[in-house]
Amino acid sequence: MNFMEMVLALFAIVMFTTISLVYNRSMWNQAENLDNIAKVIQATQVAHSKLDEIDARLLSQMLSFSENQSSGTPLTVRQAYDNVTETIDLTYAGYVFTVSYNHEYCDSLGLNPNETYNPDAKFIKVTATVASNPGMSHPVFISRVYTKTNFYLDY
Amino acid sequence: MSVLIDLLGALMIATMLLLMMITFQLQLRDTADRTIFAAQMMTHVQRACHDLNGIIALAGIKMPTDSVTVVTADSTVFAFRTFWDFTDNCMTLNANTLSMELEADSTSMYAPTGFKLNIIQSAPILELQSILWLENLSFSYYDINNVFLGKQIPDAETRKKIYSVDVNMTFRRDPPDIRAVPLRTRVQLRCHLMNRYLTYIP
Repeated sequence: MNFMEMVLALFAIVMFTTISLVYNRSMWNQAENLDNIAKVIQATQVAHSKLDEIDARLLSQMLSFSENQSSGTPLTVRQAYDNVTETIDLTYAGYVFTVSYNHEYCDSLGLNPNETYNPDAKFIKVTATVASNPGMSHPVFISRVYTKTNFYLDY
Repeated sequence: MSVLIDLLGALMIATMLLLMMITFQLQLRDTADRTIFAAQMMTHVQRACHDLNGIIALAGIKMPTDSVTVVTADSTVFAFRTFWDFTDNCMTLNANTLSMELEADSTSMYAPTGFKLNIIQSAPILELQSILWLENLSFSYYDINNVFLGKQIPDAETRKKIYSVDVNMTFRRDPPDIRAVPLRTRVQLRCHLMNRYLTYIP
């Protein structure tokens, strides 16, 4: 085998190794995607469940919608959920998620977010961000707009 | 002679490359099948969670605060009362009892690939029986402050304290390739009994 043949053989080895690695990588990507889908579904359920919990606590008047509270009254949504982070350990599913909440006043469509309290505010938007580390390629964001009703505690 | 050896060598290399490409193609097809299959499975899981959350949220409609809304709180069976009629999709004058449990009949046609979730209001509700491929289902119960009450609550007074339920589900389906391992997905779902919260008196 002369020098030229050796170079050609080397090129062939490099080319086929590259092809093998590319195929291998694409299959690993598929496996990672599947794992990611399962986590995203679970994270979505966690976000919905935590937002349901806010609704439930408002309905049971364990949280108040209004900011005009006196001492000894329940927390407002802002106090309980603005820039708050909690860790959710799902032992059955085998995941640990970090849920971050953000609270804003908004209009009926959830637009024009406003941090400033207005006594006439009728809509609150709470955004739950669910992330896992290590885990999902992107966190799950779900927002819900709560509308002031007669069922809620108001002052 | 030298030319013949060269030709044989070239033939061997070409055959190896061809085999390699065929193997890659088969692997790719298998992975694609599995991915599509799993994606359908995930859609099913998500829909099942959505349906279950919606059904449990309607527990205790029009029930007085001090009445026993949850009539069975077991690790495998959850039954509650509501004045909502799921069969006719309307309010009724008498309370209905809805129970959810895995299909008990192990000889069922679903047994080899998991069980279906039975939602029963005097008889199984057909339109709610689309939650299939369950391998395991268990419930755990929580009070209004999210304090764990237990997995089996025989005492009626304790059942009055139930305000949310954790539904743990394992879905299982055999993949397209019969030699491959089954696909299993575990989901943990916290469902709130919204109408219980609505009648709560602080």
